Amino acid sequence: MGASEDVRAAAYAACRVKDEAFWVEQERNIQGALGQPCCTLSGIAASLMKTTGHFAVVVHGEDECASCFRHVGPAAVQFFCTGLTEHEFVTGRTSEPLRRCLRLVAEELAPDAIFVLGACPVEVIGDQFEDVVNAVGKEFPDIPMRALHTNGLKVGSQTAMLDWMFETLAGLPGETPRDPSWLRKLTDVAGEMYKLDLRSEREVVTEVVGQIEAVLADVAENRVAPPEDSVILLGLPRVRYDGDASPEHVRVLQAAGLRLLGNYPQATSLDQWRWITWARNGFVADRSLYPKLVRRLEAAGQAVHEVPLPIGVRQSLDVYRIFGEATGRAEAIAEAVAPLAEAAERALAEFRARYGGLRMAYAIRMNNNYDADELAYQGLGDFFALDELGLEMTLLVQGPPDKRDRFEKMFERRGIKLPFEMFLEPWVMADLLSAGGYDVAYLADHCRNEANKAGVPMIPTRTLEPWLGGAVRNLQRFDHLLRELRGAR
Amino acid sequence: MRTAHDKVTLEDFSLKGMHYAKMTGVMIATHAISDSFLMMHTGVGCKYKTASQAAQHDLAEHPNVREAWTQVSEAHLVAGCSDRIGPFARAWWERRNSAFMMVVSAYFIELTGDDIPEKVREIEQTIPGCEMAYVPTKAPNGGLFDGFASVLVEVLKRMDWSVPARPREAAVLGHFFTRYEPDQKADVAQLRALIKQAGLNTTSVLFSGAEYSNAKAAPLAAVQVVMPYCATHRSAIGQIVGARQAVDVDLPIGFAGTTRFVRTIAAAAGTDLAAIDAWAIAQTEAVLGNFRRLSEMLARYEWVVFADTPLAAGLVSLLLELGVRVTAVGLREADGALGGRAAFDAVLARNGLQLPDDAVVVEAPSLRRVKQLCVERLQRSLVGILGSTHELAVLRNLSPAERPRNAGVLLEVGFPSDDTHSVLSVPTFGFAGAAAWAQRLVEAVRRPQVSELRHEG
Repeated sequence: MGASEDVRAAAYAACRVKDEAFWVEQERNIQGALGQPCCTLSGIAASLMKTTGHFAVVVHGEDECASCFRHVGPAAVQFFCTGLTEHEFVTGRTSEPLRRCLRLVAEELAPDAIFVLGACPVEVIGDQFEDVVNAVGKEFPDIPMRALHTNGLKVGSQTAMLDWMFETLAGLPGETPRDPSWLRKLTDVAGEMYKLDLRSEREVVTEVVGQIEAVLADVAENRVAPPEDSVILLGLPRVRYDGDASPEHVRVLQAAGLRLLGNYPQATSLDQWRWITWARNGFVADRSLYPKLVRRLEAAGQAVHEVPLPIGVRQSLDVYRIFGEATGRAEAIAEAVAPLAEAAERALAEFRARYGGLRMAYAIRMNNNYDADELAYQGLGDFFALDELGLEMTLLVQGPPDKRDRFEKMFERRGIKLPFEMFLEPWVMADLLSAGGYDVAYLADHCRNEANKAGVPMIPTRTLEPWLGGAVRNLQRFDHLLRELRGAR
Repeated sequence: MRTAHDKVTLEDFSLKGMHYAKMTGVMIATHAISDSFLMMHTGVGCKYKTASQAAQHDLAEHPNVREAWTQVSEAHLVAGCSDRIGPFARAWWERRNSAFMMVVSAYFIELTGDDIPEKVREIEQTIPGCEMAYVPTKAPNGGLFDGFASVLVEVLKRMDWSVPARPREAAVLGHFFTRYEPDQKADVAQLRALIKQAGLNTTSVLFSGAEYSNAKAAPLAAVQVVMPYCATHRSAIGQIVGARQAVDVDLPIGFAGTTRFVRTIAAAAGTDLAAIDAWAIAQTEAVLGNFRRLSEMLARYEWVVFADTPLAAGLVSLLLELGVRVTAVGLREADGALGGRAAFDAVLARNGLQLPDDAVVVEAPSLRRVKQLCVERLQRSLVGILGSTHELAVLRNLSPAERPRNAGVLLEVGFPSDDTHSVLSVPTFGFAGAAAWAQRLVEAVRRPQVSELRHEG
């Protein structure tokens, strides 16, 4: 604070001129892509945190780096950190804490797999920690151990990170799938048991006992669907709200005699990753995101089919159609889908009649996360679901305005011909929304303050429900939102 | 743990309930000054140590509105990268017009030996109307609370302590303000009201979501109320405030805790203590009088508390005062940064309270230990569990095979509280806070469940 404010102001003006060269160089690195740079430690740790199963994750680095992901998820109790300090980095003595940690985890927990994730300082000092991982791995041959040189230094994309992680999980020693249906059936029987009381008829009790015995027989036989009757989904959204016991798409597949082995990576377990190659057919939203994984699946004999995100009526119907064509069960799937499609088409037509022409802002490139379905199709997976609503859409793209032509070309490649605006930072969003006269906006959740400021109702990014039932619920939600809007006006 | 070589057990290596970076603490303190800005001189992963950790916790104001990073990658690191701070700092100041900019660096950058402090001093001379400070994160460090108190110290250093102090005014140093929601604003209001009760006006509360200029008014106060979250930097703070009267306090939680808070400040201010005692007795009786007829509802439960040491000491004190049975306490912060078991016991002793002999107190419990502590209690009893999102998530994520025999009620408290948000100004501090917590506890154990309705109906 030695200089007076006037002197500082002059220095500021001079520095800003000089800074321009820095910014030109900085922006040279920005491509016309919609993804954001990512730290592979943060991304893989966050993704493994959501995975269920008996595995362990060791963050090899400082304790600081054990907080570059949120500690909320089923695997949180299976995370460990070597907690390296300046002492280890300066002396290079990083092996012993890792060796000790791995042995403790292996001996006390005997997990099905251990993943060791590196941190930036470990990379800076060139720590070849895979040597320790491999050596300890030999002491515990039944526990696969994988060393991953994750870090935030080699700035990569979220999608490349996911592909790396998924391929690593799929590359673990394979397993024959286990039939999970007995657990659901047992839960159903438990519901029946709960209804029994001292006045229950003997026949009713006998029937419930019979159901239990049938489930036990299922468990013993482990009736796994053969590969040709099995399918996997990759990168499709998770069903969060569905009144039925199993989600709509699972019921449709079952009606066609198909068994879903997993919707990867959403809520999948380590076991499911180990049998991902079992299915004859796989369906992936945006296969360009997962070159390594797709290569592994295809090498194992799986036919990998591209599908759009099943968000909205049209896209959901497209996905069901592809399911049918790829598995040779088009008729059975069409029959199962027909009543759902009719309800969804009707709801869509009513919505369009009521709200067609309202102005919507669709913002992209604002989120930095690791959700496969959000990353698919460069964040535009929901676009066609909103486009079918008959609204007047404008794209708001966060990025350097002088790179507008790159984004324009990218939109053209994707068949999107809409007006769009570039903006630099999220906190100009309120002004953008007000100036654009939008009735509703589709924005990253951190923009809620800006949307409130502008008085524009917002739909947070990637909160739309998938499949046809989800499309109907989405329409009900929009209807509620827009009714409020009309009421307010 | 001084080094990684000191870790010998699986528990030592396990992820802790409050396994936060020093950088996270720097973020929290910076977020708590409304016109400040956090410039992270880091790689991309460090972004997740800051705003991301509070984004779900603070639904009133997203922390990303006041932070950016210098986008350091491997190539920049090799070439030397501290020159990146200036352009970013100036560009962001231009956008946000911040009065205070905190620069924090990642350790892997510090490893290269760049003279970042000098660089920050140079940059400060090129930004009008903005003060800049720098905090490194070299490990080992005191984690979250080290980062939080480091910012406090940097702010205090930038104040003019030569101004004459006003005798009837107090400033609060080290209030752990983590979000702009009404519950935390209510705690700030309670601090001001309790200090008023002690006979002083509050000049500023560091931190409270106020502007930097408000924080900088602290030297005007003759009495500096030092909160327990200053522990990692207490001596540095003492040296900075110099001749001002620094009064160390515990959190004003519970009846005895609140009374002592007011008495301690009143004693420093020379206020009549007898009047304060009479007021405190009346306030205590007003809350307990309403609660006593409901206290039986809590009797069937064992209670477990996971919180940082000052908060745990306050909450456990309150629970004991309400007559409930606390059987386990987890002091969440790493490496005893806030005093750990000794500090916890000392607060209880000062409150004239004692845990049951069979109660367990664990320092920095891992999430594995949290699970074990809770599940073993849930096998034998109904259990009420107070903890942050992290501890409660462990229990929410129990697999069907792990589900215990008895029901547990979960009450979210501390940082982060991603699932508990406030509409009303409901405090934790003061007698109002005691009443609010009694209400939360009663509601939690009497919350109707569908299965109960089925049997009753």
